[in-house]
Parts: sequence; C-alpha cells; structure tokens
Amino acid sequence: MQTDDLEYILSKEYDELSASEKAQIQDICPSEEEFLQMKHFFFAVENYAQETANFDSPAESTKESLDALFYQTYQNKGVLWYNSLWLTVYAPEKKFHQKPLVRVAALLILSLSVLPFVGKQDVTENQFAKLEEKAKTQDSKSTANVENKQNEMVEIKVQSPIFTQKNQQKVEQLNIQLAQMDEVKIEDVAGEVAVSDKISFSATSINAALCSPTSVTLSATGSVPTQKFTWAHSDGIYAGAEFEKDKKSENEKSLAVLDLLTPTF
Amino acid sequence: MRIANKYTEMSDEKLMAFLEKGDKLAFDELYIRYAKMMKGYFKRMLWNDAEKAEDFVHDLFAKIIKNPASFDASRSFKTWFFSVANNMCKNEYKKQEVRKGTSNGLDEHFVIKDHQTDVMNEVQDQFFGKAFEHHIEQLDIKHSEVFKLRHLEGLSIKEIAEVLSANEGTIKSRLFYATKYLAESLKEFNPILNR
Repeated sequence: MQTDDLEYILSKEYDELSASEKAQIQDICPSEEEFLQMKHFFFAVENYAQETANFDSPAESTKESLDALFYQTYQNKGVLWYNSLWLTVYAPEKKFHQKPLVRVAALLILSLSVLPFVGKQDVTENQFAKLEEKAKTQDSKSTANVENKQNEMVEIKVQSPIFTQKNQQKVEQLNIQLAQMDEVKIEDVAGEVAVSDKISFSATSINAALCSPTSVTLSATGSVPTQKFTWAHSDGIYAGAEFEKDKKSENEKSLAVLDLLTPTF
Repeated sequence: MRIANKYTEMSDEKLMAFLEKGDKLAFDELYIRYAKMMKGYFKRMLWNDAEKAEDFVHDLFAKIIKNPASFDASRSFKTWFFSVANNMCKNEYKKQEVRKGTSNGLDEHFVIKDHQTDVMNEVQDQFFGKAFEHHIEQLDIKHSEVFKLRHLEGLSIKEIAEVLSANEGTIKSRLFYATKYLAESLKEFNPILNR
C-alpha cells in the first residue's frame, strides 16, 4: 500500500472506513486499536514538526558575512536595467516554449505569415467586379467608335472626292497635251543625246490639296543638260531646237519639283 | 516599496536568475524565504546542533553566491536547494562517522511554564520528541531522510524523489518502512490519550 493512501485513510475515523480501505491497512493496522495508535503517532509527529520548525532565524552575523561575500563576488557586476528586461523576456528558468520571447516571436511570425492573406478574397472579388465593368464599358465604347468611324468614312467619300470635276478636266487636257507631245519626233538634236535617254515630264508646283498642276514642262533627263523644245516659226514649222541651259542647279530643281506623275517612256 | 513587492512576487527560479546577474535584492529575498527553513533542516539532520546548523546555512548560501550557475534552471529551486543541503549533510555524516547519540531526559534549555497541565503536556511532548529523535537516528539514513523530508520539511513524494534523485516508487517504499518502524517503536507514547 502507498504511504499517501495511509495518510488519507488515517484522516478518517475507523468506523468511516470502507471494507477495501480496511483491507489496505490490514498489514500495518490490523485492528481498531492499532489504527488509533497510528493516528496518534502521526499527530505526535506533526506536533513535533511544528515545535521544531519554530527555530530562530539564522544569526545576524551569518547574514552580514554572506552580504560581504556577495559584494566581494559581485563588486564589478551592477544590476543593469537591460539585464532585468532580458531576464523578464528570456526567462531562463522557463521551458523553451514558455519563454515570453519565444511566444512573442511565434506570434509575430504567425501574424506576418497570415497578414498577406487577410482580406485578399474581398479584394479579388472587387477587382473582378471592376474588371467586368471596365470590359463592358470598353466594349460599348469600341462598338460606338467603329460605327462612328464607318459613318465618317462614308461621309468623307461622299463629301470630298479625291478628284473634282474641274480637276478631272485639267487632267484630261494634260493627257491630251502629253499625247501630242508623244507625237513629236525627237530626233537627235545635238547628236550627243542618246536615244536611250529617258524623256520625262513632270508637274511642278502641284497643289497637292487640289491635285491640279499649274504648269508642265517637257524636259529630257539624263547625262545631258536639260533642254527645252520651242517652236519659233510663225507657221508652226519646226525649225530646230533651241537649247537653253537651265541655270538652276540640279539640287535646287530636285527640291522644287515634286514628281508625282512620272511616266517613263 | 514597489521594488520590494516586485521581488516578493517573483518565483525562486527567477530570483536565482537575477542573483546570477549580481542582484543583491534577489539574494536577500531568497535568504528571507529559505534561511530559517534550512536552519531547521540542518538542525534536525545534524543532531540538533544549532551552531553546526548555523554554519551549514552560511555555507549553503555561500555556495549559491559563488556558483549560482550550478543551479539547473529547468529544475525546481526548492528541490535543488534541499538536494544540495542533503548532500552537505551526507558529507558531514561521512566526516563524523560516529553519529551523535541522543540524550534521554529533558533538554537543559527547557522552560517550565506555570500552568500544571501545560507542564505535563510539554514534558510528554519533550519525551516523545526525544524518543522520536532517538529512534529516527536508529533508522538507516535512506529511510530517515525520506521520513524527515516528508513529515518534518513538508515536501511531497515527487519533490523528495527529485531531491534524492530516486524514483517515486522507491521513496514511497522507504517512507512506508520508516513509518511502520517508528510507529512500532513509539507505541508506548500516546500523547493524545495521555492528555
């Protein structure tokens, strides 16, 4: 039987004991008299303990000697505020998981790991809703724009044709002149002009907006200087070519002339 | 005042941690808590020699001043302190070898009070005390120290097991044996009935 059980049993009266409890104390207290004797023994021991516990405190000299020893040992060690703080936070007497520092660190890590996910679901839902709204408005805008553009194109076609009637007439006249020019037989005027030299005509100072050439000159381009063909005879008989050297430099010409129509023969 | 309250509310283990850092107030608080208790313990263990008990108290506290790091922070300070004290007693037993016998009769410092019945009870208790001390000294140290720690110092079975570095079953067995022996030896004393 356990001693703690015996102490518990002895706190009761013998009549209050159950059969099992009596069986437990059978070897040490076989009878009621023995039971009472044991109870008295423990009572006497308790009295003795109380009496002997009333010792005087250790002498003052003992404490003074210990104080001197303490100051001698720790004379270079002062109590610093951060020592107290560290001991409070670290608590070396506690187990690892019970230390305040460890608990705070664990809490911090946990909160930091959870923080990015807090409220994220709501944000994504809001974002989805915004994106849907944006997509709808963009769709409606784009369809409207396309329709507007189509309408504008139709209007432009109707309102501002590229070639007006007047311009067309001018172009036709030019074509006729060009055809007449084609008929002019170009013979070897100076003997130096090669047959292979291209004869081209260009429109100068074309008003791009109206697309109407103001003047046309017939010129031969090539390695020879630019030549103009003129008819000086009153009957219009071809009397020969009179060459005029164009004093303008080639560069100036090229800048001034805008070759929009450059048919090559 | 606030600082003093702070220390009185601290656990023994925390006070030891402060003491290790050189905190005098922590040492004072531990001294207040344990000096008287340890003096009683040493006196019981060392044949009621008050002077020796005083010296042992000094030596015990000097140990924790000089080497506070010897305290294992994972253990209870109380059980650790008792185990250190117990080891000191064992060393003393080895030194002495010859146990100090107990004297029968009244203590020379015993003061008789005026009231007659109290006198009789005091005498009875004195006799019981002396007989108890005598018989407990007859016991093996293993058994007597367990009984003293349990019934005179008020330690639990678990704490005794920690102090003596033994398992609880062994402590219970020793305690039962000591109880049975002392109860049998002190059968002639029945302080309650005699009163």
